[in-house]
Amino acid sequence: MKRAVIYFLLGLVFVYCLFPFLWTILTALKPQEEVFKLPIRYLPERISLENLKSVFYKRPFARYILNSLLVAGGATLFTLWAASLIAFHLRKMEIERSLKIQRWLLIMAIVPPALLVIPVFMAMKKLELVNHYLGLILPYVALNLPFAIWMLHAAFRQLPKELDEAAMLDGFSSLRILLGIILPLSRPALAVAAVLVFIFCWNEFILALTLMPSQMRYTVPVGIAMLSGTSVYEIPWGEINAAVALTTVPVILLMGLFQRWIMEGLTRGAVKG
Amino acid sequence: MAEVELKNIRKSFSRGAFVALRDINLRIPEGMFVTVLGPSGCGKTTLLRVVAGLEEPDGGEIFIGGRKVNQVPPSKRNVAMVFQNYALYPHKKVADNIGIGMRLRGYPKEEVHRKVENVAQMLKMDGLMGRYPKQLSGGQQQRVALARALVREPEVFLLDEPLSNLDAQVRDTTRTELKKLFKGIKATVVYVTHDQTEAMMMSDLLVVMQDGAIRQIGAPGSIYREPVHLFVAQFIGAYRINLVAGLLTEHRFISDDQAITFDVKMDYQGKVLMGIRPEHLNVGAVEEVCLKGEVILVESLGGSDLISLKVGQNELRALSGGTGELHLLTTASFSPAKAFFFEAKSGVRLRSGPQI
Repeated sequence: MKRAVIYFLLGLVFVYCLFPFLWTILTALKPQEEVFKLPIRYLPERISLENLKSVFYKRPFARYILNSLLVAGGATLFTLWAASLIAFHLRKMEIERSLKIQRWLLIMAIVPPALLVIPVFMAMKKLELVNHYLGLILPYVALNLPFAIWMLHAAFRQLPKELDEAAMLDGFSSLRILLGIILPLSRPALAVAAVLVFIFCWNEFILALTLMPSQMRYTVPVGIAMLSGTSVYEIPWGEINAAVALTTVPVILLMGLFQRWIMEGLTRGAVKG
Repeated sequence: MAEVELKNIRKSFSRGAFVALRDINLRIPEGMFVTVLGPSGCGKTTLLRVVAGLEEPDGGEIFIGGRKVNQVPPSKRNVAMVFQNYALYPHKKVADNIGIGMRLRGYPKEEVHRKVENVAQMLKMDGLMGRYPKQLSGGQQQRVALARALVREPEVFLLDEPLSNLDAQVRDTTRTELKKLFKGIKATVVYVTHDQTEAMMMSDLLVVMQDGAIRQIGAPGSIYREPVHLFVAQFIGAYRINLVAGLLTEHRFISDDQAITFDVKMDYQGKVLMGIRPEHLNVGAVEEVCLKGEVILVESLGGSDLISLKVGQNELRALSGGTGELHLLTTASFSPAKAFFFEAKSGVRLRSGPQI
């Protein structure tokens, strides 16, 4: 009985959280005329791929996806590369100095990205990187580095120092120790950091909007926000919902795929063993 | 094989807040099994790490085989180290764990394979080569760590408490095997431990350390018989040495509670600690100095007993054959020649005859 109550309440929360998302997917599958039908029908009477098609055929949505993939993918690789080098160095450092640096990293992670929009835009303009992939990748890397370093350092710290030392005596170079021993043993943390950084970049809006203002450079969130109808008074809800569904589903799948590792990565070191 | 020499090695941590090594001078002769013994925190592991090159000394010189190696990186010093926690690469199979050092040094694949097989046979672990370290028992992991050191045929072996993570029985057999093994290949070995039994049984030469300084160097037997310092006398020996505070005056020792007095051939005058080992304190009035005491505790060791006697204010332990009949009141005796005297303040051993 008690169990039934708990499941019922959990179910309520579940539906409450998932409802907007469900509605998005359902709306995406409705034909244009059904979207505004009153009274509201949640389940589409007729499933139609009209919206999905129009997103790709009438608008350069494939291009937006490509832009997003390039920026998010590039930023993720760059972030992990830099973060693992830095975290590896922190591991070798004296503990007091390493703690000092980590404290600064946390402070830097507190700065809200919106605050950086104007200065970063000016900088990128000077560097002539506006509307350039690198111009968006660089600030993404900067924003994600503190978190990624922190996460990787936490994972590296779990490995005994003697591993590095044994490897040094065996003739490993520093880079080889990192690539051949530390990183393979920190795969869960790497995966978690990669997924979280990727999702951040995939969803980021303000910087993407500011730093890549030309339509051919829109990332997915910007592209969705810029979807407009034939007149100012028309909002193409069907297409917007189709676009949102299209871009959210892969991210959710990604999370699902790495869920086990993400849980392991986030709870790692919580208990001994 | 090569000899190792340390000259005036100093090392401190946390900007000098903790001094690990104070002015260490030590020569480890070629082909000898040398044990560095001391309580935890005495600097023995730091000493080993300095030789390996994992720790840079603040001052002093390190020579391996006559070559100064202060600036030589660990991999080029031709030393191999076995770590206390073995530090095996968890994601590599046993064979790769053993062979990777040689592979990185550019030996051809076949030669590495052959050598790894040889070492595996020597350590009787042929069947384990395809496994991962996690799938091995503690004793087997320890062998892999040892094999990784042996396969490279280094000039010096550095072993950092390699037996301390094993359970008692495995430790016992491994200890004997280790000794045989290193005797067989005539290796120069520096072995660090806090276990005095291990140190006594295994080493050709014993180095006793305390607070970052070497207290005494010598063969295990001679250190046992002739400790130069109170600390060494307390640390070496299977059973804790009995200590009695007292006074030396006019060739006579008088304990503080006056319960124990006897004549000695000492010219020293002043406060001392008298030390007598339990194995030199016999039950019964068979030796020169007799002590009457009350038995307060008998600890059986199987073949023999450790008997605690209360003599005056002092509690003394005597090792008996375990066959003698024990009464509530027992006499114990010892020969004054077996007693050590240490200066009360400094702990320095006092010798018979005039003191300098």
